[in-house]
Amino acid sequence: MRQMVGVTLKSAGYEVLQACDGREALELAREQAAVDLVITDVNMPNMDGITLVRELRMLPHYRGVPLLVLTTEASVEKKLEGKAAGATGWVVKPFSPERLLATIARIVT
Amino acid sequence: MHAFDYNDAAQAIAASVTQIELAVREAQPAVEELGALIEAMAVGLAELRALGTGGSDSVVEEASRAVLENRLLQLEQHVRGSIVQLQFYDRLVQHLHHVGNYLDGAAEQLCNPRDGNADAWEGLRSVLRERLITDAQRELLDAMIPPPGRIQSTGVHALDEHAARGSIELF
Repeated sequence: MRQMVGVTLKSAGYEVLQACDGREALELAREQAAVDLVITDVNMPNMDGITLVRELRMLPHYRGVPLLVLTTEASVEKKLEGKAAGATGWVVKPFSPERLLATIARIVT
Repeated sequence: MHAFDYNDAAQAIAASVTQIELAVREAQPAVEELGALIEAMAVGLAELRALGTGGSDSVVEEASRAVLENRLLQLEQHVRGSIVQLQFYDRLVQHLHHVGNYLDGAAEQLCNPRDGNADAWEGLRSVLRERLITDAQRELLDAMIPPPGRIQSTGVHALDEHAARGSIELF
């Protein structure tokens, strides 16, 4: 999945930084300047996506960064959990590359 | 071992087998579509290669450029289509992971039966049902192991699932 999102973003000219799970993503976020957008899966080893969103929102330099959650979860409850954690948007798989890129163009300034 | 433990265990195993079969069936259309897209991309690449070995006549070059652009656009569409279809693997892995957890729970229940045995089996079934990600998966589980009460929300789940797949919502 990470590969497919990376291919989609790079095809549109974005520079992509990748992490293999939520814990690695959080470490990268702590060590480096904020990125313009985070896209995270929900089901990941070591740290799930919703926990990652919650942790990122506690970092001062990530308070205003758009955080998109990419998931197979279609349930309203899970979506509300993501929203409460601080997610900017909820993308239900399978995602269409065109729609994802259009959404990113809207939210990344 | 009590008689109902064998029935419950047999039901759990049979239900798991059918979920695995369904997982493979649900993945099949995406795999076929991916195969077709890859084949189309290979044909497109062959045509591009043939264009590259064409003559140097300016009219031919102009026509070749138009065809080249068209082929590149088609290839781009095929790549994007492949990205959509490849995501079946993610769903397959999740589905099988949930079934695996269910079987782990069943094995644990058989080795260490708890008080309120029937409740324990129902607990395992309901956790699996909650984690299943398509209405077809939930309906199949209900058919193999009928839930104790009437499930009112199946229709709603079906609507949620079809409406939600591929959706993007900004909060």
